[in-house]
Amino acid sequence: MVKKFMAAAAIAVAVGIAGIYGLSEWNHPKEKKEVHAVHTNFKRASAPAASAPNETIFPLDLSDQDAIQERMLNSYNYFDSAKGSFRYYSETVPFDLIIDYKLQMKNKVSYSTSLLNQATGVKTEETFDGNNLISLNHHDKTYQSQPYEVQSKGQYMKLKNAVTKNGDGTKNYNYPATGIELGYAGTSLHSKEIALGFLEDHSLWKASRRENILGRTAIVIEGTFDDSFQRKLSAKTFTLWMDQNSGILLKMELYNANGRSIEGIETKDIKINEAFDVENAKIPKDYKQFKS
Amino acid sequence: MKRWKMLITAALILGGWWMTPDKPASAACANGSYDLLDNDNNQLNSPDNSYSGNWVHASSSLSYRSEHRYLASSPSSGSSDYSWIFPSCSNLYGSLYVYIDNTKFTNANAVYRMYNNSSQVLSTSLNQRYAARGWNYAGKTPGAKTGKVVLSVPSGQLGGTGADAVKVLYSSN
Repeated sequence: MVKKFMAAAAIAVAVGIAGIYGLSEWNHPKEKKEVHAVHTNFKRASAPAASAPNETIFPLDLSDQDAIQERMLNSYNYFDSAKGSFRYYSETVPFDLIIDYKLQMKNKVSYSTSLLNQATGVKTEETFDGNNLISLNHHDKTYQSQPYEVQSKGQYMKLKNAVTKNGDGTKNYNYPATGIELGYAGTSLHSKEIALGFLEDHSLWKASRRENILGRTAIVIEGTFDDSFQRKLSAKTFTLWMDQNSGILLKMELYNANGRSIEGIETKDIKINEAFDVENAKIPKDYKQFKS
Repeated sequence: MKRWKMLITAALILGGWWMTPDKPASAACANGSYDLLDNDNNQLNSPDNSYSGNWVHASSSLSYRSEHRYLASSPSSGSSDYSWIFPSCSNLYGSLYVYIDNTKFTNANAVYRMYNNSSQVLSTSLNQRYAARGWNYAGKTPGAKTGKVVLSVPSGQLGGTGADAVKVLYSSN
């Protein structure tokens, strides 16, 4: 009788542990409850010179690593429109791209991006007019057009909710939920992966100073990659120039062990919160519809 | 006595199976649950996956269940796709997470799409090159429909693209 009782208890304990573990794995979709409303926590101040005249200023302390990381993670919440271009290059892949973008988020979201591969001359374009997402591939002379929905720029993601641990030791990296998909242009305008990837370990980087880039105030972040990124990117250290007010990545340089820049971003032109139209993509008549 | 030992062993094995985080795609679209599919889910060339193009199967201690699929370069035309065939669910939103933990995954603009039956319900991208090691959120369906996930690499895409485990978290809002 005692043996039977003990066996039944063992089964109950095993099932119970499994159940608790399973529940802990299933509790992820809480981020919506935990995110905070946009712009409710920011202190506002009068505008300094290095910003657009109609821009609200959001101060940022160089010593506040959480705030710096959080601003980059939530860049879309710090501006309403941006247009510009940047060069994005890598010796290791390799690639050398020129990316132009226009992004409007004030009333409804619309955007256009174009990417020129300087090595091959191939150009691709993508446009979202608020209803349809149109992609043009000028190399293949193909296009894709599909209904698409972007409800807003997305909710603000607090840093404490951005990285969560699972029961098996793996981590979830939660980025702000936004339907804005800028492709390569997102590397500058919303460098969310860099915010949680390069900047996760605060002991490996610091914000050292401010610099002026194209008339804007940039916070200079200097850091060392962890072992994984060193292997992945063949780079030892990095420097980021983050636009202080918007969280946009204006410039980036990744350096190899010899201190030579082997990959980076260089903004050529940028305008923030200025009025402009986003033109709809014109599909040439000889282009064929591409279906994946 | 022997019979009870076997029963206890079976219970512990059952408990251990439940405790593994790699639950198969069997949550059946329940609010608050999730479905998880690996590449080559449970077996090479699994019926839970499909692909077009030169996706090479490779072993790595860094990858989920120590293996992944890898596309070294984009095709000269068209696209090379890798798919995780989740059930098509309606009335629930889906949040997509992809597992990135391999130094070969260097595509700076990996495009993921989700389809409910044949209708596209999500198009999103992730920078595999700069993504942190682990489950990376890739996007949420704007409507209450989920289904098959496709990683699509069109011609002209740069860097190596990785296909590892993917999970879809279901929610009612």
